[in-house]
Order: sequence, then C-alpha cells, then structure tokens
Amino acid sequence: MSGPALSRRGFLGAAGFTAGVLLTGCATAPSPDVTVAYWNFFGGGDGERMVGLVDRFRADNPRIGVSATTLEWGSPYYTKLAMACAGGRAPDLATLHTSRLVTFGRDLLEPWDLAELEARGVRLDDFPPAVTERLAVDGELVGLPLDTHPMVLYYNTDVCDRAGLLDASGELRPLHGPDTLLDAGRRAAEVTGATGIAFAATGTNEPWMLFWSLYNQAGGRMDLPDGGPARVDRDAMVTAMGYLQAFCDGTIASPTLDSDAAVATFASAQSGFLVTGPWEYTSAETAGIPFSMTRFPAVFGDRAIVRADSHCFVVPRQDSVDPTVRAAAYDLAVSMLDDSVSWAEGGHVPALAAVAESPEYLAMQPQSRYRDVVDDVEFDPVAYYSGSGSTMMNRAAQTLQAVAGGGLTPERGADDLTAWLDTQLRLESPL
Amino acid sequence: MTTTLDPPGPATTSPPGPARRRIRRNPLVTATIYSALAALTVIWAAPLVWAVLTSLKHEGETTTVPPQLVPDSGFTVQAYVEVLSVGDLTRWFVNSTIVAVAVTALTLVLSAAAAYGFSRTEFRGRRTLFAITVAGVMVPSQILIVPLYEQMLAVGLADTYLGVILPQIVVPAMVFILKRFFDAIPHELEEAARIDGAGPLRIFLTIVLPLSRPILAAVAIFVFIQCWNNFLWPFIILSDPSLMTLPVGLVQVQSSFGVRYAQVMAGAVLAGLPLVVAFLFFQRQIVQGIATTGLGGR
Amino acid sequence: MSAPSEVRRTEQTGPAGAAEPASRRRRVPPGVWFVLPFMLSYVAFVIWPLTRGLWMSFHDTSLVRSGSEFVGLDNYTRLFADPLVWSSLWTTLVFTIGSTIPLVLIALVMALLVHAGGRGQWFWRLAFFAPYLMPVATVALIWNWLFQNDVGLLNGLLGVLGMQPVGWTSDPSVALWSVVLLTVWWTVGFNFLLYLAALQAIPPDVLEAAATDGAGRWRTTRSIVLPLIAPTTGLVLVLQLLASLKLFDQAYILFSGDGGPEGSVTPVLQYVYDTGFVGYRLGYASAISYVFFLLILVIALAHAWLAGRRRSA
Repeated sequence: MSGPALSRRGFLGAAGFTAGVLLTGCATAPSPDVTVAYWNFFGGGDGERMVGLVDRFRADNPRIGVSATTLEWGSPYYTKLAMACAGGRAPDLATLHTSRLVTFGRDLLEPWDLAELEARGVRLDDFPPAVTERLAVDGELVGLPLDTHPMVLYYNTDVCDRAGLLDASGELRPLHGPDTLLDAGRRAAEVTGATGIAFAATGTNEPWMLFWSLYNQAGGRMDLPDGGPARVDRDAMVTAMGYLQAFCDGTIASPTLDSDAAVATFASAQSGFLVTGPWEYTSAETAGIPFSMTRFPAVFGDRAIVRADSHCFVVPRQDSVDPTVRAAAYDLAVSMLDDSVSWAEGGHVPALAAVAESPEYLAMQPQSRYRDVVDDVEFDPVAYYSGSGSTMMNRAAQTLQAVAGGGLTPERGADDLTAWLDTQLRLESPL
Repeated sequence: MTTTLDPPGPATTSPPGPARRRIRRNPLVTATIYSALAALTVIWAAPLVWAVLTSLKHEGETTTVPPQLVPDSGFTVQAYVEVLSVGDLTRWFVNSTIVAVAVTALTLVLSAAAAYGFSRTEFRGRRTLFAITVAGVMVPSQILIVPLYEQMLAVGLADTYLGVILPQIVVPAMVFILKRFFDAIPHELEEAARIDGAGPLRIFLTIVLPLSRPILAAVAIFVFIQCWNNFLWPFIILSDPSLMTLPVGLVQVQSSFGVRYAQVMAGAVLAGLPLVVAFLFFQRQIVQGIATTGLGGR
Repeated sequence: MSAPSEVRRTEQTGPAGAAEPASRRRRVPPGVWFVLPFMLSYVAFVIWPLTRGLWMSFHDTSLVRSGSEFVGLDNYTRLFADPLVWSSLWTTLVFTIGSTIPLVLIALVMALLVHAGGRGQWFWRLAFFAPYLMPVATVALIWNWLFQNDVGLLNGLLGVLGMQPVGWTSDPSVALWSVVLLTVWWTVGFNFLLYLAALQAIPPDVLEAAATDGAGRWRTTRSIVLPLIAPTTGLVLVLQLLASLKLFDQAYILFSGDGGPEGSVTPVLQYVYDTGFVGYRLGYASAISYVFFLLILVIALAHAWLAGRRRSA
C-alpha cells in the first residue's frame, strides 16, 4: 500500500533535487549597475576597432557594463539573432546590415525613439538620406546607421607602377570600360608572375558584390514582387556573368580563391589589385605592402555604380524591457556613432555627417578617397531573403562560383539564378 | 555478495586474452601486423599532433608555407593563456558539465525506473507501452528539431538550461537495454525480500539497482559522451552565449581579433581534451560502456 | 560482450514479473508509477513533437509570425518540385554510402589487427577511439585547419611529394569527400570498439580447433572469424547507415553553414535547418523532415525485416 505513494515521492524527490541543482547553476554573479548585452559579428581589423569603441564607452561610463559578444558573421549570426528575438531573450543592442532589416521585419525589432536620440545629440538629418531611406520600416527608423561600405579597388602601388598603370602623381590611372580593367589585370599579372587581381571567386560575399555592381552598371534592375515572377534584366545578367567569367580566367583573377586566400594573395604582393569591401584595409596595412584604395571603376556605362551595404545598430524586441538597460543601450549606440572616426580608419565611410566631414576623417588616406562613392551605391534588392549573408547572397554565390569556374555558361547562370528567384517568390513570405 | 550474483547479462565484458597465444606465431606476420597498426596510428594521431603543434606556435608562425613542424622561434603557451583569459571557454565548459550531468542523471532515473516497470511488474497495457517505447528507437531526434524548437518557444524554455536538457533525457534505446538486463536477474533474489514485505520500490532500490551497477555505468557513460558532444540541439535552442555548451560556443562565438589559428587550435584542443583524459583513466569502463550499449542506441 | 546471440538468450529466461501476488486491490498498480515518468517525458519530447511536426507540415507556420493557416498538401507538392530537396537528399545519400563503406571496412581491419596483435591493446584503443570522444566542433576546426589551401598540412604534404594542391574545401567535386575523410577519422573508433568486443567474444576453443586443424591465420580469419562476427557486421552496417544519413554537424561547421562550394555539401538536414530557421519556414521544413523520416524508416524497417528473415531461416 505504501508502494505507489513512496515511489511517486521518490521520483518527485529525485526530480526536485535535479531541478535544484539546475537552478543553482542558473544563478549568475551580479553585475555593475546595469549591463548592456551587445551582439556583433566583426572580426579582423573591424573586430579590433569595435572592441576599441566598446572599451572607450566602458571607460567613459564606469557604471554601465557591456557584455559584448562576437558571433560568426553571415547566416549563422542572423539566424541566431532572429531566433533570440523570437524567443524573447534577445540582446539589448545588436549590429545589423542595413540590407537585412527586411529579414527582421517589424516583429523582431523596436523602432528607435527619435526624441531619445535627439536628447543624446543625434538627429535623423545627420545621416545621408539614401541610407536612412533603407533604415525605415513603415515610416519608423529601426536602424541607426554607423557607416556605408561599398565594394572598392585596392591596388599595390609598386606592382601597378611597374605595370605602367600609375600616372605622374603616383595614382592609379582612371580605368574605364570593360577592357581597361581586364587589361590592367593582365599587365599586373605579368609583373607579379601570378594573377593580376586578387578576387575571392569561391567566397560568398565577393562574387555577389561584383555581380551586383556590374549588373547595375549594365543597366539591370531587379524587382522581386511577392508571388513572383522575378522581374530581372536577363541581358544585363548575362553581361555581368560573362564579364565575371572573363575576369576569373586564371590570369587576371583566379577562379579558385576564397576570401582569406584572396586577401593573403594581395597582402603578399602576389597580385596587383584586390576587389572586396573596404574592411580589408587593416589586413593590407598590417602586411606592410605599398598600397592605396580607390573606387571600383565604371566597367559598363558611365556611372561607377557599386554594390554597398551599411552597418547599423538595432534594438531587438524583448519580452520584458528594463528601461535603465534600454537607456544604457541608447547611450552605447550613440557613443559608438560619435566615435565613428576611429571606426572609419577601418575603411568604412562614416554615416554621421559630423564625422564624415570632420578634418580627421578627410585627412585619413586612403580611406577617405572613395567617400564620394556614397552617391553611386546600390544596395541589394529588397526581399526578406536578400542582403548580406542572406539566403539569396548564398544561393547567388553558388551560381556565380560555377560561372566564374567555367562550370556554367553566363546564359545558364542567369537562368539558374532567375529560376531560383522565381521559386523563392512563389513561396509565401514567412514574415 | 554482488560478485557472485552478477547476472549473466551483456555487461560482463572482460577481454579474454589467451586464445590467440596458442596459435603458432609467424614472426613475419606479427611484424606486418604491428607495422600496419603503427601506420594507422600515425595517420590517426597526425591531425591531433598537428593541432597541438599549431596551438603551441607563435601566432605569426602558424601560416608558414610550407608548414613547419617546429617553428623557428620555438613553442609558446601564449595561445592557451589568451584563450583561457577570455573566460568564455571555462564558462562553456561549466555549461557542458551541467547539461551532461543533468541529462545523464535524468536519463538514468527515468530509464531504469521504466525498464524495471516493464521488466518486473505487471499492469494492463504494459506490453503495449513497451512496444511504443521500443518503436521510439526508430525516431531520430534530428527530425524533431523544428517542432521541438517551436514547443520550447511556446513554453518559454528556449534559451534555458532546461530547454537544452529536457529533450535529451528520453532515450528509448536505454530503456530497452536496461529491461533486457533486468529480465535476466533471477527472480529468486527478490522472493526473499518480498516475503519480508518489501514493495516494488524497495526491491528496485535494494536489489535490482545494486545488481545492475555495471549496466547502469555503461548507460551513464554512453549517454554522457553523446550529450557532451551533442551539437545540433544545443545549437538550435541556445542563443545566449553565456548559456552555450562547449561545441556550440566554440563554433558560434569568435574572438574579435580575426582568425588566429594558434588560438583556434588551442580552443579546439582544450575542448577536445576532457573526455580523452577521462578515457585514459577509465578506459575499461568506457570501452565496456560503448560495447554494451553502442549496438543498442545510437 | 554484446554478442547478440547471448542477449537473445537472456531475454527469454526472464519470466517478466509474472510472480505478482494475485490479491491486489489497489487502483493503480505499482508498475505504472515506475513507467509513468518516462512515458510522460516520452509523450512530451517525442510523441508530441512528432504529431506537432506532422500538423505543422500541413500549415504555413513561420518562426517570426504568430498564427498559421492550414495549407493542405501545399508543402508536400512544393517539396516534390523543389530541386534543393532532391539535391540535398542526393548529397546525403552519396555521403551515406561513401562514408559507410570505409567506416565499416577500416573499423573491421583495425579490430582484426588489434585483436591479432594482442599486445598493447589499450594504446591502439586510445589511438583509434580518441577522436570519437571529441566534440564535433573540435574535429571540424582541426580539419578545417588541415584542409587550408595554402597553409594546410594536407596540401603541404602533397607539395613535399611534388603533387598539386587539392581544393579540399573549395573544389565542388572534392568537398563532400573531404567531409567523408573527416568523418571516417572522427567516428571509425566507435565501430572499431564494437568489432573488437565481438572478436573478443569468440570462444577460444573455436580458434584452437581451427589451429589444431592446421588452418593458417588468414584462413581462420576468413572462414571462421568473419562468419562468426557477421551479426555484428549487420548491426554496425545499419547503425552506420542511419548515423551517416543524419549528416549535418560536421558539414555545417566546416563550411560555416553555407553549404560548401557551389552548394555541393548541403545535406538534407541542413536544408531543413536552412528552411526552418534561416528562412523562417517552419511548416515547409517540417514537411521535408517527414519525407526524410520516411526514408530512415524504410531503411530501419528493411533491416528489421532482413534480420528477422535471417533469424527464422
């Protein structure tokens, strides 16, 4: 008779004991006054500078703790952040690519309180309109822009000099039209004895950046309406992919380099150029090679349109909001904006006007030499699955890798990508 | 007493040695065998040795072309110092331990009780329930991640220790293995206790469990290893870096200073070490644990 | 000694709790209390998600939007027209076959060698089994480092031998086999231990008899040892098939979740993850999970059926 009761109590006891052990495990040590959880994805030189920004804030605000976490860039970061938001336990502040705001929709992010920002000295018209336009969801500002980062052209001044590509003042002679860039690559290749242009044809970011720039220069537009079909310019696609294939011929650029290898190739002077985002400035700088940076040229058409994105700060939605933590998160974001001249050292074009026009930034060479690119940037097409580190970039890169490697003709590549876009659009948006 | 009463279950693995010695040994064959073993060992050890060597290099010397075994400026433990000073690794180690210990304990309690119920008690529907349990062996946990995640979200357990632990404590194969073992325990042993008025719980606790120590250890070892190394579920359910387990944290969280191979390798080596060290000390138990439970439950 | 024959024998000896006194009048028989906690957890963490997943596969459930609509068979019809479902299933299948064969053969060879060698067993066990004890993150990080194009050990060794570097993780025709290589290194020790246990369970007198008959070591192995451990081979094989089908972790980590060069290493579980968590489409992801589950069930049931036939034969 005592059997069942006893056994139940036994089980409950065991369960309770375990739960007790778990709960003790859960309790964490107390923090300063308030701690802001901040997530970002910056590695390399950007990572070091981000640590610098956070450290300066810590020094200025001893009563606010910052627990900064760097997660792996790209889809892992965005997936984790969205899942953390969905779970209601998101960080207090996070970095996002502007192109990814759509992915987060209205449900996962809090709009910025403009009055609160103004109280900290930041106003909406302090930023370039082209960027803030992309940061609004339903008329409310959800992202606070830190910078713009276009695709740029790095060049080794020594290699280019020997290849006869520099003018009298030691700057790269303007490249214009499809052949001059290829020709410059060939001539640089003769000097290095390897390839002329370091380009990560097997990366995800780089093939997309180059494709999207060329596609837009060739006059291509892309519209992705829910339900489909995708409205794309097939001719411009074929042109852009054809150029990519000619570009990655093994002499001008290699079809087999990944991102790290491309940077390493440029850093060891095994190539005369590097085509990627400005964030590799630090890598080139630390390599100690003679180099400069300039805008990526107009290969097609007259406007040197390039693909760009921008980093912004967002306040993820949480189940319960502590107002003091929220205020501290605002403080942290604004402090990093105000400090963004040191961020710009890493090659990004600062978004805050006061910083972009500051003498310190203008004196920064070569980082400020391509700042006027901001007028000619093209962000990724608007869709919940597009943007930096998105499914679309990832999938497009697969097509582009195959085109660059010669496994797909430009025509088949264009059809492959369009077919995928159509499939994607036929699916209803999960937002 | 327990030694004589050890049931003839599957847990009494002690490698018998002598048989082979009676077969005539051809020195050439023996030499071949040992060279083959040595070659395989070199291949199997090389990745680890290379990882350890890399982790002991100065950061600037990890990427020499061609790769160097011994770097010019010698070895350093700098990478380990830096990896450990950040603190994440120790935090994840603690998390992994909490999760693995809790999962192992809960799995043991649940499975042993259920196995005992299925093996030694009688009630209506017992066979059906057992059949349903055994059928669960066919359901791989990987296909449940989507609904399980949604479920954890709904009850507010996403991103908590409990959310990591609970879905891992149901291992039907272990119930099956334990039941098979309990079935083999002679009934006479509990008769005496029953006559003394012992209920099923007392028989379970004082007779069946003590007799089953080897198999319980085997199950515990197996579950612990699986849980310690589990990646997919913790990866899905955990977003908060301070709650992550070792395998998840190591993959998701980066140092902000770019790719530093010596540090990456130092982290990898530190994370890989605990169970290997445990294996050095408890080799016999672990081998038995795998051999007895491995066939039943992966 | 997990030789299945012995297990079966022991199972039959247990009269399974038949000795209960007949005079019980309790409402709840005590056995229920033993089984209940497990069964409740089982319902909560296996049966419920299994049912819920099925329900979701008929809905357009999203990760980021609450509420969902019934969409009938839409997810399933879409799935059959989705090339990524088929290519990821194909990738999974190629990996499964390509990894199972070496994982069983090498494990068998290792076990035979170690068993024949006799001495220093603990050392060989440590050498071959240690990788299995490491978390997949450690394994993938180490191999990612070995696979590096320019500074990796593998290409370094090829260079010493005067061979061209291989694009271990960048060449779409190689990348999947790099994952096979990593997986063999990582998990072969498990199968090796199972084989070793089976070999050690062979009664000494069987081998003695063979020796007195004058059979050589090779013939003894081939005609006596291998048939004796055939049941183990059957089990190792099916366990390995099922384990390989679940490929996700190492592929995901090695390629940072981007599916490898040209998407050549996107197994079906990663497509489920990408669809459900990266693309928020939980309903569609559930439908893919179910098709995959069906595949696993077919293999498991086929094995059970074959094993049953072998037993009755």
